[in-house]
Amino acid sequence: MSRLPALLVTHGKLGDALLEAAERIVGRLEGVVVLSNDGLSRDALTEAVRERVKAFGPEGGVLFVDVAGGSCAQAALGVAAREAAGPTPVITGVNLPMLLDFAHHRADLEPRALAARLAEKAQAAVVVFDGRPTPGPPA
Amino acid sequence: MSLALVRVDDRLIHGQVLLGWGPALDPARYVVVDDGLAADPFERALIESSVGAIPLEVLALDAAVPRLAALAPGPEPTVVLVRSLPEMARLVGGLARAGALPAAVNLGGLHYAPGKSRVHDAIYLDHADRAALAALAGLGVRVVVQDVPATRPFDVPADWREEPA
Repeated sequence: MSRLPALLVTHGKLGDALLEAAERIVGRLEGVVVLSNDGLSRDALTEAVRERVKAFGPEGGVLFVDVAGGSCAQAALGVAAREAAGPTPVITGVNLPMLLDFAHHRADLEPRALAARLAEKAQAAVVVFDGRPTPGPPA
Repeated sequence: MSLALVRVDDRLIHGQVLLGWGPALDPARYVVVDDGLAADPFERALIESSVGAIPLEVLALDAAVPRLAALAPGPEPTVVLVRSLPEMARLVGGLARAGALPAAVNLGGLHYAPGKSRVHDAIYLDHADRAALAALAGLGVRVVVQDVPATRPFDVPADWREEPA
């Protein structure tokens, strides 16, 4: 299986910053593209997502968005549900642990199984430390 | 208070509305007024999926006037979203005739499109938008630019209603 492509659709510079941070840890992430909603109407953002999802092959890819219900999530959901050539899950609440796990497993899972794994990993990565250090989740 | 926010925003329901205005106004419902969305089951489902547990109504403009006029005197805060200024001018005109003129219209986001010129960060206007601003002024409605509750609101200046020199 080849490495799955991904698109990060986020508010402001969040996507750029997340990708940059991830690449400092795991190296260059070929085929991972960032799109900001800055300056784009609902229709223009949907069109921009559409153009980028077209580049995904028949094996599909993963759409990362920041907040559920936001313009980025709605644009991604609309394109993924109606127009994607292959399986194209949309994952909300993108964070750095999620992106790093994607980098490690994009070549060995199909998009839907990978998305399910990423959701689990990203949620497990949110831990409250209050007082004494305790063991956190495995990275 | 019942029509707590009557907003022009070409993203309709999105982060600034749900996560900025939502916690500030605690709306009982969102009403999206849009002829195209009202007639498109997929787009309606998409937007309905974005609001969580808060009720959402997607109405064509003609249906929205009596519905909002009925909601206006009630105690529950309603957030109204319209995609464009010309549609907002038509909606507010209808509400004025129904005796439910909103106190103010919020200008949230009108992003760049061909033929539009920039007047503010996320506000681009064309001829039809300027005419709509003039119509809203003629109806006696205050039009205020404010993207989220945390930013300072300001009244749309009169020259936004005129073509740039």
